[in-house]
Amino acid sequence: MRSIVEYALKYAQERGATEVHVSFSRSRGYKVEVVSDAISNVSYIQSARLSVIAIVGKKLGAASTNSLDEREVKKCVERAVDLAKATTENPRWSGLPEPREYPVVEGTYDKRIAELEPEEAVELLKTSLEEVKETSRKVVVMQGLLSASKGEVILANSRGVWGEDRGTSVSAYLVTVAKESGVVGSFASEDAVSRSLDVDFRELGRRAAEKALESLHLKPVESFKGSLILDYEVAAFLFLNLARAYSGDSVWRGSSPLRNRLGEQIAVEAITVVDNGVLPRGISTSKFDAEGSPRQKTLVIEKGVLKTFINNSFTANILGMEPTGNASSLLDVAPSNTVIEGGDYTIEEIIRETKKGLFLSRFSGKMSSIDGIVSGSAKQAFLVENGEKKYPVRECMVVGNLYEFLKNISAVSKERKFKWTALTPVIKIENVNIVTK
Amino acid sequence: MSEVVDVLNKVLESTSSLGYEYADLRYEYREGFSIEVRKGVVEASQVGIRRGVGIRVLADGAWGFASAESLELEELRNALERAFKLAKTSAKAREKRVELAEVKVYRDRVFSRVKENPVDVPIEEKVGLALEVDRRITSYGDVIKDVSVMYLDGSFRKVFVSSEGAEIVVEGVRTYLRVYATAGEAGKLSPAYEAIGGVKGFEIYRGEEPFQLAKTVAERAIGLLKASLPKGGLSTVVLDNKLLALIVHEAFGHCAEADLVISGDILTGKIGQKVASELVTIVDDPEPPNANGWTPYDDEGVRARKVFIVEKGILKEYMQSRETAAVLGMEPTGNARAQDYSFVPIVRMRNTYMMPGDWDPEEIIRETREGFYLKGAFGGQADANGDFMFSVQEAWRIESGEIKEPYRGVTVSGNAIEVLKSVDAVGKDFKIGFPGTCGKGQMAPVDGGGPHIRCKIIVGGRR
Repeated sequence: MRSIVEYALKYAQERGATEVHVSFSRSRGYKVEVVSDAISNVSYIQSARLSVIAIVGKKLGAASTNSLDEREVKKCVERAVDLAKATTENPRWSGLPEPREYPVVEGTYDKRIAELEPEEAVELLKTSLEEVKETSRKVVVMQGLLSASKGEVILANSRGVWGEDRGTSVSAYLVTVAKESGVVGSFASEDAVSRSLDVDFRELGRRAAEKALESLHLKPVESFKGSLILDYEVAAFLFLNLARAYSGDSVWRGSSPLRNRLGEQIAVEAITVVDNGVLPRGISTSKFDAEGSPRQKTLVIEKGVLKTFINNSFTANILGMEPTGNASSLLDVAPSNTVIEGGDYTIEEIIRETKKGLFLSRFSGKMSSIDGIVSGSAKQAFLVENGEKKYPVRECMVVGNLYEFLKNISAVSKERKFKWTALTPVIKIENVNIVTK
Repeated sequence: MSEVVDVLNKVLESTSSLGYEYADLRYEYREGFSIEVRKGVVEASQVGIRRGVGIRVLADGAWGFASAESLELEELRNALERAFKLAKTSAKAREKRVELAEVKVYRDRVFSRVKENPVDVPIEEKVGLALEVDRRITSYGDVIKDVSVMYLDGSFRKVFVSSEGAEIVVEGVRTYLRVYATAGEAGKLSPAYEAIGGVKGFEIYRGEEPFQLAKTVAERAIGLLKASLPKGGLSTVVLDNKLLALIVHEAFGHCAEADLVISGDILTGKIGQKVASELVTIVDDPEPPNANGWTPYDDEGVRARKVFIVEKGILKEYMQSRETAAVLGMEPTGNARAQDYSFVPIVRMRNTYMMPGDWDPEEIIRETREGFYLKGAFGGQADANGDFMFSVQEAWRIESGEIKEPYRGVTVSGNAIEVLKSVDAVGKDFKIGFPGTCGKGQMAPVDGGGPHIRCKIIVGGRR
């Protein structure tokens, strides 16, 4: 691996690149799939990819290949340089990052995943399938997946950046549906993702079955204005959409309403958000980002006040800020692990103190970071009345504005969970429009 | 390509003593090019190559799969042996045996027909096109805050060889142009989006279409700046071709995919029953000319055919793979598709549309007393019980047959069967060519279309 990267760096410069960025990644693992309650397939997956970005002055050209013999690697470098020469300048280009020291990260590699045998992977997912049936015979697993893999990456550039990292991850999901006397419920899904083999597959099956049952006998409600309690998954969706708005690329491009709002109160005091690329065991935790800048911990929103944006070198230079280890490419920015601080309430207290509202576990719709519009269907949504979860509702739509939601949060739970790349509490928002027929 | 066919056949020959029931090998070579222009600047341009072989083995009544990123005989043989072992592992965890419906075995070679191969067009010309589209949008002035024009093209070659003797080569090119713009005024932002493309040559970018796209996107983003959310609730709506394409795909299409039918969804056991208004006929078509979901043969080597899902309101057929067809005792339809060589094929739609009716689209609006005219989509989702939702780009209020003020931020939802039963007018206009990428654990290029229609749907808005 190293020799290919060294060769690409050298050869691109010989061909006329003034700067070069090279990354090489490789992964392998197993995938077990389920269709209609049965193991449908077991796969061995492997992939490798060389990516070269050649820069000629301020012109950028990128090429990639998964064919790694000498001839193809050479061609890949040539294509990157030729493309850079054929394109036009990016006048804002300010250069590749310089080498900086990388942090020590914890909990990103688990030998048990790296050495997992396919038989064990099958057994793990079967545990979930069995648990679904033990929870309820009415529930069918329509689709399921367990994927376990290890990966390694080398990233280097012509300014002396050289990083090597490796990691493991396991992810699993079940899509379930419950059926009873001819009535089909709506999809339910439960997923789990981790850097180590500590996923509770029994719990995954049980939750997937419970959620399906909760989506079976739905009752209609009248439209109302009330509290909206976002379960972990929906809260994660909200905060990950918000992250688009505090990403440096959206800011300088003009597609973020948070532009020019640093130092302002954009959310209630109970909200503190940290972008933490070095979070132990975090899904997006790594030593360095996609341009080779070190990952770090960045306080973005403190007690509701917008403190900074997240950046790569390119966007940081345009905005006159510092890079924060959030490059998703040389030009684009993405959050790492989005960590929302826990609050003062237990989830039980949040429900108990709700007069009328919805407890929302799945949201099928959009929450736009650009115009803030929130609009979509409430799925696995329970009506909460006088402090009690009553029954799951049907055909409800949630309508509002993300930025108004942030100012109407009335409670944040102590309990937190990892959902995708967010570590989030459950939150309650007031004065939300719930629309039905 | 015959060299590739030979290598793949050699792999089969040299492993036939393993004793599997069936095996297939799918070689794929893809070359792609893309440029992104944002406000007058070519920000990123890239080329990529990906090739590999996916090997699927059926042994002891179960599937195993492995992929390799090489054409070396030895490596492919190892991959096949690995897939064979994984099939045995999988068999131990399975009760029912996998059966495959019989199909005719083909040896064929197919090319997508285009006038101008995009691979032969100089990069400078593609850059020029993207810059010009971008310029047309930024020429609307400072009100345009952000623009992204993405041009993509590429070529693909797929070779399918099976232990039953199939040898199929499919080659083609793809092009795609995606335009985003965000307008802004007084702290308010408004996004808009459109795309064209498919298994098409560069000729579609020679005319006015790319610039028409730029105009639509820019004017929509600006036009909706002052628009607000409408009043929500069950409403009479007229859907444009693109929204209808999405509703047909999301709401109905998925529920007619045989794997979901077997698991049990809203269309299970409903063949022959009325599931829509008699004005409704829905087809999944493998080969409308140059459509994004062009699939002459599927990834199991099955000759793809048209599937009449709904004919005059009656549910007729499901979309099938060889495996689902065997389970249901029906015929394979050529709907088994894989994202690429590293995935196993699953039941997918191709190009799904509603057939036109006899209303003049303008007449539909003229004959609507109160409701909304809904245009363009940002995407949507469907559910096993037929419930669906999608985000609409533009909503125009209709009053006494006239189009009034616009609204934005509208999401519509409903139940596929209820909504399609409520269809009371189907336009005689017909448009196909709304390229999209459908996600179902794997991504697949799809297309869709149809006429203008009128139906009843829940519009998400203010109380």
